[in-house]
Amino acid sequence: MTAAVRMTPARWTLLVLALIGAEAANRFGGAGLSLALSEMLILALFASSLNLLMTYGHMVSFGHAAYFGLGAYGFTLAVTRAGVPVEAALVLGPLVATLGGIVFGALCVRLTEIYFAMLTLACAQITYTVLFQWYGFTGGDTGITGFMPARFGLSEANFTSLVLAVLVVGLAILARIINSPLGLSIRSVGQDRWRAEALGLAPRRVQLTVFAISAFFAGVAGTLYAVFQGAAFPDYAGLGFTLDALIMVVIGGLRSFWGGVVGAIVFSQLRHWAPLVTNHWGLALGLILLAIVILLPHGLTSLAERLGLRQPRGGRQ
Amino acid sequence: MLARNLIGASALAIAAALAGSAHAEGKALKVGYVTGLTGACAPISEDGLNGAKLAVKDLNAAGGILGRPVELVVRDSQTKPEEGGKQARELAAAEGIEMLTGVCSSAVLLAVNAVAAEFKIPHVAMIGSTQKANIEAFNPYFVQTQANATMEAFAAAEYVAKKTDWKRITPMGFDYEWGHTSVDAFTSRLKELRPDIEIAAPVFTKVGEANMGPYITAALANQPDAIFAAVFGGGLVSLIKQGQSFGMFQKSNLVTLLTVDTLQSMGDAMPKEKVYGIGRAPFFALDQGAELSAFIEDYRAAYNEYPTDWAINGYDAMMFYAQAAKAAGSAEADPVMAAFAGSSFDGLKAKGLTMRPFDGQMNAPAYVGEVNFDPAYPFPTMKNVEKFDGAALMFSEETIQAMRDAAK
Repeated sequence: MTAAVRMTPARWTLLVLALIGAEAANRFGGAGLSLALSEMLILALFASSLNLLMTYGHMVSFGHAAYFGLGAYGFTLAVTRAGVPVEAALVLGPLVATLGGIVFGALCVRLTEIYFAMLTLACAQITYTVLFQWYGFTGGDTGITGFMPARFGLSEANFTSLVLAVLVVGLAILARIINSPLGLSIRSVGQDRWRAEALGLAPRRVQLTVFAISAFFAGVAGTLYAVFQGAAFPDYAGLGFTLDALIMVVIGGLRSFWGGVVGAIVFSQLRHWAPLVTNHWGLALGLILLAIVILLPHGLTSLAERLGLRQPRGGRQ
Repeated sequence: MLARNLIGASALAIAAALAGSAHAEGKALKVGYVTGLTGACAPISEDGLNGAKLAVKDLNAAGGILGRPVELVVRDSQTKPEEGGKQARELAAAEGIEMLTGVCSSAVLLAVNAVAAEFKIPHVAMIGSTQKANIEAFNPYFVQTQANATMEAFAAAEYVAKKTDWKRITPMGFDYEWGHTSVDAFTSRLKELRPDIEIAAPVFTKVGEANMGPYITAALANQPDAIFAAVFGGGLVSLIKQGQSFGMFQKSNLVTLLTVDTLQSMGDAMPKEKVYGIGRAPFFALDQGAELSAFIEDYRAAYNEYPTDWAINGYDAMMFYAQAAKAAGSAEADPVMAAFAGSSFDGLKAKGLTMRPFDGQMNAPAYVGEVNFDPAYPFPTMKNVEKFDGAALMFSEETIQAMRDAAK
């Protein structure tokens, strides 16, 4: 079974150093770097929400962007169509995503394995199509722009600090959930639903709960992203964002709590630099990702054990 | 990994910040060029960029703008609005760009336009033509250097209205904003001009649809005299090629967006008649002058092909901006926008263009003509091309105000 999240003194030190480093880069690296950082941190939260679903719930979603998009649109439509104050809309975005997660999740958890994955894809495409086609309400394919100053008008650096704080709180809550009794049932259902059922757990209910939690955090990320851009576009719920999140989780590693964060950081960096270095950046990116997957089948988070710095862990083989 | 990345990135960013400080005389004037080099826009974005590069070459050969060399900073939006918005924001925040241009897709145009408003940077549209940027999403730093989507559809309606023997029309379009806007504008203007004409329910296809068969049958079902198709690129090529096997051009005429790139890619597969095209800047139908011939020659020497509408628009957009900045005596946003509003521009695609500050629209013309095979060119062109004056196609300020109010 995937292990609980354990924080050793060494890990705390690493985490604090990483946070200090990120904030220092944000404060002294210029506006461009701050913008790149905010995006990276928002995607880290998004990927972590999918990581919860995949690493601990053992559910592969091909439609996770739906909840990212619902968060962004929940926030944006509340502000533009319903005249809700921005502060309240910030809460509404993730709630809309959670609601979407409960409705779609209830359908999806009736199935398992590839059937489950295909159904998540179908639900996400329904979401995308509605956002893309409903001109009168969602603005259709041109999205909704210019309804508020991007980042609430905060400076690039201040907004990045805010995102960093949200990410830290989000990760702390996720870790608490995983280490709680609920987390234990999530992990046991993920590992072997039949055995868990024999032990008296209700697998579907547990899976729906984890689906909803995951949708909530994806919604928080989506809401933040809409604030970051000062806009919402149907693409937020599209296949592109889903695949990006999947790639992040896979290259980060499917056995670790930190997989989503590490994957998001590495993938964002690769995608930022690759087009500046080569015109064939798509090919370069593909080859790099291929190398990571082949050389490190358990993702970048398994680098330490790969180098013999740590004992290999049990868990998902 | 993280630390190393961040240190590397911050060192670069610090270097960029140092380089970007202090506006010295003779310092490069950076133009942010955000366009879809990959994704649906790729083929036309490339042409626009080629035109803009030639303009930069010519400007720099003549001493730059206000004595400053012009530098294009190109970013690939991948034809995704979130990517385009992000690229534009990074260019504005970190690269110190003083103008934004190049955008192709409508959604990306609106995303970049919001960034231009946020940073108060002139945004010059050269390919993307959604009228939302003029109406609901307008900001005072926006300039549209070509006829917008609605104006183009109006021109097509004016042209079709003169075909007195056409009684039945079926509109077609790609199922996204530009397709719907074009079909709606075309239909409403045609009804005004020709109340007697019968307009069937429009047929919409997925953006870039390659299999047009079922849609062609649907469009031909009520035996139209002409089909108006708001489609472009690969989907349009499919429509014309597959239309021939359905006998579309025996039964009906086709009126569609025919830019030079489409004419080039159709080649000999283009039907000999019954195809009418809307052009934005067809080089063979423009007022021929020394500048245009020089441009065509330079372009062919540089890229080994004739310039497309997008290339001419790319060149024009850069030159309009250069003239406005020179007239303003500064590259600062407000004086440049005032110069845009107060000057008259002679471009390759038309002479005497002015920009209306109320919606940033230049009174650029639209061209409509019929397909022609001229032995002088290795691809089909158009003959009897009618030039529709932009001023007559533009909405009045009152209409725009009403539309803006309604959108709130």
